[in-house]
Amino acid sequence: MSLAAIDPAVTQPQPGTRVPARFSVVQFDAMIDAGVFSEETDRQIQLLNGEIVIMTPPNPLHDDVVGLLSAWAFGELHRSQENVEVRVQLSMDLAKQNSVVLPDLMFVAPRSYSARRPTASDTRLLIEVSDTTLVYDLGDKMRMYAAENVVEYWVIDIPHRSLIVHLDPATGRYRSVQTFAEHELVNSKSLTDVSLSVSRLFR
Amino acid sequence: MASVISPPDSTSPQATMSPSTTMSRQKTELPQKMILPSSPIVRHRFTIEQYHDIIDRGIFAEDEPIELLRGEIVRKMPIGNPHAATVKRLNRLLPTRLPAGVLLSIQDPISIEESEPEPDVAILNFRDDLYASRRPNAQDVLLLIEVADSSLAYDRDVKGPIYAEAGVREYWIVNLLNSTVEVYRDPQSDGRFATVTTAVSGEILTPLLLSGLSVPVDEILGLTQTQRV
Repeated sequence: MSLAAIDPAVTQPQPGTRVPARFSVVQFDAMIDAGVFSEETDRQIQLLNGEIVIMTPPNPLHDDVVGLLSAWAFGELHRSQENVEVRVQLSMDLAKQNSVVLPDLMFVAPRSYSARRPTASDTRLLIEVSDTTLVYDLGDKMRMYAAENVVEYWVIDIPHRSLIVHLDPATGRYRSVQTFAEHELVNSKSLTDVSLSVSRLFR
Repeated sequence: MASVISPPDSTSPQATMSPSTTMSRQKTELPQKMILPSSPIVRHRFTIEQYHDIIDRGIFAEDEPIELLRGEIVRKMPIGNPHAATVKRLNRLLPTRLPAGVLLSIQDPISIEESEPEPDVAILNFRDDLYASRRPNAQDVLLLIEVADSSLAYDRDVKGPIYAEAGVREYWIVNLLNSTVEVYRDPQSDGRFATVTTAVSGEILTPLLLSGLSVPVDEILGLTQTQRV
């Protein structure tokens, strides 16, 4: 039983470099089901543009902010009139880009995700917490989410104690990028009654 | 799959395979988007067992041209007609000249640590079961031959170090661009072959471990008039 063939790499290889075989999300899932990856060593595995990669594990500061962010998010969930669910560090499919990522926190449409992961169209608000990965989260990661039309993407910038809001995805970028300082209040555009005091995340 | 490869480097093979070049090439092999200074990404490395598992479960199509190199599943370089013709030529001229006690293997995998390349030609120690029970490894290889035109840099700088580190005792690159055969011997653990020579038209090659085998360079390259059916 053979599954869909890999979409060929678009990159032009330089002479003498390896061209990685790229996997689709379907193939990646088949490997997970086959038990190719082990629980202990492979927790941080993601699929990025068809390549299976390992993310560096988060440091305590990153984890602490994710914890505070989660507490906020579940509190908002309780208060809000919006019909959403919150998922923390669970996987998400970006199938067009042959990717399976693990955003720190997402507000998603309420439905069963037991047979398939949330996609960008299920996502109302996606939040990444950035400490050492800031350049990446504001760069390649941002472009990935924009390409997938994630409507609202927040980056919690730990080094600068601020929050960056990305809106209006178009042609692989966000047309609106706004930074909010620690003392400010951020209102979600997508979730109209959800807001965050940035200072809440930094203690 | 179309892939544009700019003209390969056809300078001396010894220069290309020096240790410092090998190391720096390994660092620059990640695609541009993954070498940001603060990129948290590292490619996952598969073991040979995981690779076999993936293949056995049909996750790739039967004839998908892939290999495992240093734990990464990579696309095999596409093979042009001159390359394919040279492999066929080797497949015709070798069997009649090989001594007893060896096996000729064409584009079949050999298992080396974290790699499972599929070299164009490998001459292996004979086994009764013809390697049905296990993949050949570097120690089973008496001579390994890759044919190179557009893949020259790849065969020198990506595959060469893998073969050297594994202890493949003799490695030939049939260089179709220069009409030569590059001969690599004395594998070192740092990924170099200590003895590198280039054989040109008119010369005759004898592998170290197959002293009874003589192969004129011209016959490998198809440059003689005497090759009939």
